[in-house]
Amino acid sequence: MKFDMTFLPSSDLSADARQIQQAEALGFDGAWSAEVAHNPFFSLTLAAKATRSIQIGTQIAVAFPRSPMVSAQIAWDLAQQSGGRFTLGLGTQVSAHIIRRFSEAWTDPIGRMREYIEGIRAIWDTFQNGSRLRYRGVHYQFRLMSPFFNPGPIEHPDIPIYIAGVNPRMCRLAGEICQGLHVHGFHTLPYLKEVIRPQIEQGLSASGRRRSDFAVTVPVFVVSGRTPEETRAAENEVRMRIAFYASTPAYQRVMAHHGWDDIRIRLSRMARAGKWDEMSAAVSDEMLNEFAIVAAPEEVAASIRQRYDGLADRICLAWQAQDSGLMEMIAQNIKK
Amino acid sequence: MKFDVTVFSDDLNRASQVARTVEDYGFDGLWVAEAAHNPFLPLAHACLATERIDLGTAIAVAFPRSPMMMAQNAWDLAEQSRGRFILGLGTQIKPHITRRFSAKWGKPLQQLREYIQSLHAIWHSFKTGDPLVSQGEYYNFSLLTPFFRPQPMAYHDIPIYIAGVNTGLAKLAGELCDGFHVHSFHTPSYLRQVLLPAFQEGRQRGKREEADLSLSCAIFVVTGQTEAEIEKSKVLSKSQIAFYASTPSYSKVLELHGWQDLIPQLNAMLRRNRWNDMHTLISDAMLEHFAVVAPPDELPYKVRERYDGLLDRVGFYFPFEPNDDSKRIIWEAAAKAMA
Repeated sequence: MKFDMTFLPSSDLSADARQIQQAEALGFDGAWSAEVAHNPFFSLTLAAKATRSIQIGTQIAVAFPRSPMVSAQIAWDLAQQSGGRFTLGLGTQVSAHIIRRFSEAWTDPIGRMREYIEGIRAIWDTFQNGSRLRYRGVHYQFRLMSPFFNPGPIEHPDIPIYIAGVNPRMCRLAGEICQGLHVHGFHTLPYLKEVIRPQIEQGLSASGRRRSDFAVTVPVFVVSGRTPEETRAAENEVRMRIAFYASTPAYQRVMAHHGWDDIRIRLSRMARAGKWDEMSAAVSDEMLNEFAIVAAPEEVAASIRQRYDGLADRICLAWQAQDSGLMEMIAQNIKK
Repeated sequence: MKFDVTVFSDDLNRASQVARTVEDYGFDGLWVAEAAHNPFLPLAHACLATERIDLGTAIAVAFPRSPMMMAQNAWDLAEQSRGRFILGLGTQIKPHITRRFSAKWGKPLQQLREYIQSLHAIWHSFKTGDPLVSQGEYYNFSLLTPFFRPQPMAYHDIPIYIAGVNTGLAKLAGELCDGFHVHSFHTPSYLRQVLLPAFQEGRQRGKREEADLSLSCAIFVVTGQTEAEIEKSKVLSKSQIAFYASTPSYSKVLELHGWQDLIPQLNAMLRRNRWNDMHTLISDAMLEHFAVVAPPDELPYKVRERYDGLLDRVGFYFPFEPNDDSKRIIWEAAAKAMA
């Protein structure tokens, strides 16, 4: 089981890159950036130069607002620069954001994501082997390349592609054509076992691949702290996050799986009324323990292993930028 | 007059070094072109490795990226460079947009107009926190929540340059942009007689008659220290000129000089796969209109002489490669004259 860190790129690119260096020094296996308010690749290219062994990647980069050609070139550049340590993690985001924040079409996201990935692989084949670029799909067609626009072969051309999956069909697509699945942080063990895992297995079966060919990455909400204050603050933050996700339609399957629809409806109503402070209180202790790992710093790694053994290949912990002391404590116990 | 260099970055681990070298030479700007590699990644390195030089794209292809992503890229680089970033955009041409990027191509001038307007609207929303609203035929924005907003920052007036050869783009630049990358394939006559009036018409349309439009260009140059070097440089420049001269989009430049008969002749050669001979159709007299011909130590002075009052920023058509010893004398002469 590998332990990675995740972070949100900030206004301080140097600091972002330093965080990744720090994570490498602490023994983390990977660092994942998320595409939210900043470009997710800038911090990775800076970190690639300043690190040696840590895996870098996106969790996730929003796919559709970039041509697959653009994503393919970015990944190629980062794979070359990092000596093969880069993973392209993609996600669809949700329809409202794609249409209204990116001014991009939203049609058949699963079919389009499939073609997005197939298109990227066709492009990479042209880069690596000089093959004629000829990809013809419903959403994407790629049929033009010339030497001037072709970066040529690199030493590590087998760049892993992971996708984020909430919708079970997306999890199945991941199993079918990707090297990994980024599970959403908003998940429970039963949901992972009973809904996501079978979909991955169906996908793997459809493409004749084994479970060992595939990586399941799982971001874990952690409630922990070195002092009661630190722990309380962590708990509030995690409750807020759970409340937020639990109130949104995109993640209702998880709530439904546990028979928590009534909580979801209540939270949704509170969200619409702007009652954000009351929402945390509506998250029961039972829910907190299902959605998060609650443990003392030295116990976090062991609790995670116990819960996710046999299910997750990589565990992702959100990097605490303000104070890496807690990360250090957790990291020390990962190695044990 | 500013002196810039262009880089086609293919080694991200050297990008910082290259940028620092440009700054150490005393040059004014570094442009990254988008061809086989992403143009923004090397600029991320350059932003943090330099303090003075302007940094920008010449050009980044617009349509394969949502304006939201382009706006974020520019915002990030403007912030990291403390306001030295210039977003240079180009439309590319239809076959590349539709068949290489598999992106939408409508009416490019209208699409680019809306693209630029969208960038301005997004940056305004980033800066002020006002809701994002921008509507058009090609782009519609109506959502930006706090989680997805970068922080406001001091360097929010990000210059946009567009690149082109024809009057449509020149007018658009005059109307909406901060600068224009004049295509290397131009003549001073074309610049004076065709482009300058187009910029002015655009400025009038945009009611910004007094606006400063920064004109930038990478000039074809023929130079060398030996007869052999000069001859090689001449053939290369003539070949590059011949290639552009054979392309329909650039015919207006030839038409101005009455050289349009060249077009079918060049295309006939192309069809017969005689690319290596196309340079023979470009006379020395013609060359003088498209390129500046001089030994390395005179070159920057001749460029300045020709373009004084016409261009604000110049560079040379070939890429800046600090480890290329054969070009070092050219850069040193340029630094001496211009920096």
